Amino acid sequence: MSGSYFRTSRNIELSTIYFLETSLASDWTGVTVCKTFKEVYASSVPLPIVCVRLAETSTTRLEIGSTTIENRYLLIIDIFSKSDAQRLDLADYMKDKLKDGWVHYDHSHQSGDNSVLERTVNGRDWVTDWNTDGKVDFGEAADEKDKFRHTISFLVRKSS
Amino acid sequence: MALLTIDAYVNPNSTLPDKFLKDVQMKFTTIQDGVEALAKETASHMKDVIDANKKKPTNKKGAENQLENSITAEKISDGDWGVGNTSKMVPYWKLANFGGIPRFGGKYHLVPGWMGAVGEGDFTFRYDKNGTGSTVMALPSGVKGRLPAMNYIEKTKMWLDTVWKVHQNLKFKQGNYTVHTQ
Repeated sequence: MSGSYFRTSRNIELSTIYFLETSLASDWTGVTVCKTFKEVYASSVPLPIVCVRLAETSTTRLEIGSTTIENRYLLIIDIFSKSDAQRLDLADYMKDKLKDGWVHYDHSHQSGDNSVLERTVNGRDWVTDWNTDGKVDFGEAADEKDKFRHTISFLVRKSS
Repeated sequence: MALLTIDAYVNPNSTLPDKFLKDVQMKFTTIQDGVEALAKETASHMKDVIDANKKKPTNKKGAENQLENSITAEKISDGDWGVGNTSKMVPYWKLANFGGIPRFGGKYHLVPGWMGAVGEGDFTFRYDKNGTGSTVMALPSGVKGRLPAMNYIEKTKMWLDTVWKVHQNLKFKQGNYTVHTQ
């Protein structure tokens, strides 16, 4: 079978989105999960919105003399909510979900057909460090979607 | 926040209190110098992150690198250093970091040198005559300009965490004293 297989960074990003999407779908109503600001600000997408993306990778050697590298992935979640209360609830909910780790999937799709993603379980993703967690205050006059913003960032490691 | 500790071991047969105090002070001064160097390096790294993530930067004289140039490392108190004094940074530091719709006070602020990073082609921003980002302009009805998040703060913090972890594994041994961070 010929196909297109994604590398670790994309797999971590997509696995995280998939995990939050399925969790929010079962525990919340009407929360949209996306990965770009273009989607967030599209007028067709109502609040609340959760934007998840992998921003950067930090690479170090596992130990001196080793050729094995140890990657940490910086994931950032932006929450765009309807109210301050919802912002806090969503932030707490997601941290609570993420703290236990989530299934890591290898993603692929058939050549020429990227409409369907195939997922194969391959370990777990873990939060190793919480980086930032707080309200983003653009003031009272901010755009409707920016009024109740929250950002969470954390470092992730993939276990084999 | 990282916790810095100093362990000083005293040899009861040979270490006099005043020598012990001097040695600890010397170690602490060395650590303070290290923190200062790290703070300055962090500010420098933050500027590099912004520079690497800028899209369509302006070449307007005086407006280029405004955000980077407003980032400094400042001593807060003995042993404490801060990077990026927001009261001194350009007013759009938050918008550039977190992204969003550049609308405040019912008006649209300009972001010299970076507003061009919208990259989604909705409209063109202009700079005011001072390049300070204080001039306003109306956007066509129904048009929304949005800035993607640069996240230079989060990326710099990630870098700093990595550097700190490397350093905290270093132990300096001299005489009877061991100084380490944890």
